[in-house]
Amino acid sequence: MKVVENYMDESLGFPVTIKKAVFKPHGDDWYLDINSRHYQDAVFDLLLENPIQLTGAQLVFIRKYMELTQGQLAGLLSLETHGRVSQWEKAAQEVPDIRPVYLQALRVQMAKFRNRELSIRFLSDVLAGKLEKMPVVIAA
Amino acid sequence: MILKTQVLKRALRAALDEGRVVYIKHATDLIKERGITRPDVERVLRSGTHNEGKSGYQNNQWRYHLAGKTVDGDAIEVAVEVQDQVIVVTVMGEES
Repeated sequence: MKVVENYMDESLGFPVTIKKAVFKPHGDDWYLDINSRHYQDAVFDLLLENPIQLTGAQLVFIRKYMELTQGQLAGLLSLETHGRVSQWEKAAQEVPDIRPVYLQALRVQMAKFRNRELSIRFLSDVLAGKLEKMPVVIAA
Repeated sequence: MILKTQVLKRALRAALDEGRVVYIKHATDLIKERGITRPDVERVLRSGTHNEGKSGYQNNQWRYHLAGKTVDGDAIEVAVEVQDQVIVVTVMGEES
């Protein structure tokens, strides 16, 4: 077994720093010993509850975590077609230009999916564009 | 002893529900290279088809191949070993 103090994982499609990541051997290789479900839940909740400017790749993860097609997500955000979702996702590791009203609607849908409640203040901040580009860091 | 498809699917569902799915470094490298994500792989483990023809005994372990589609309809194939955890050993995209 080995422990990596700050391991950067990209299996969700974007960089996530895992603190004190534990690796176990498998033949000549290693695997990250993390509960996959808890890991994805934790990252989704972090993207939901923090004033993070979402990148295109993070949007892809959010959509796939919610098991939605681009068209279904577009429908939830009251967009007429999936074209805009596709355009946002193409930004990959960059932050796409998304109108705050859609980011707010996305946060509302994410919270609904996780049975969470978001504060009016947080939602107002999202609508006001008070978001920052920040790294995603979780504890193992 | 190789697991029958029904038993395999039950084992995979239980592992997914409990988060007992891990990825060897080789598989995570392939995931990154091919633009695949954990949710894509785990969707195939939950709802994919067991390819019995490709599954077999390898490196002292039974290795199971499952084929399925991502939520966007892209075909992927995943190979796993079933121990206490489900170990994802390789992931192949449509072009593979």
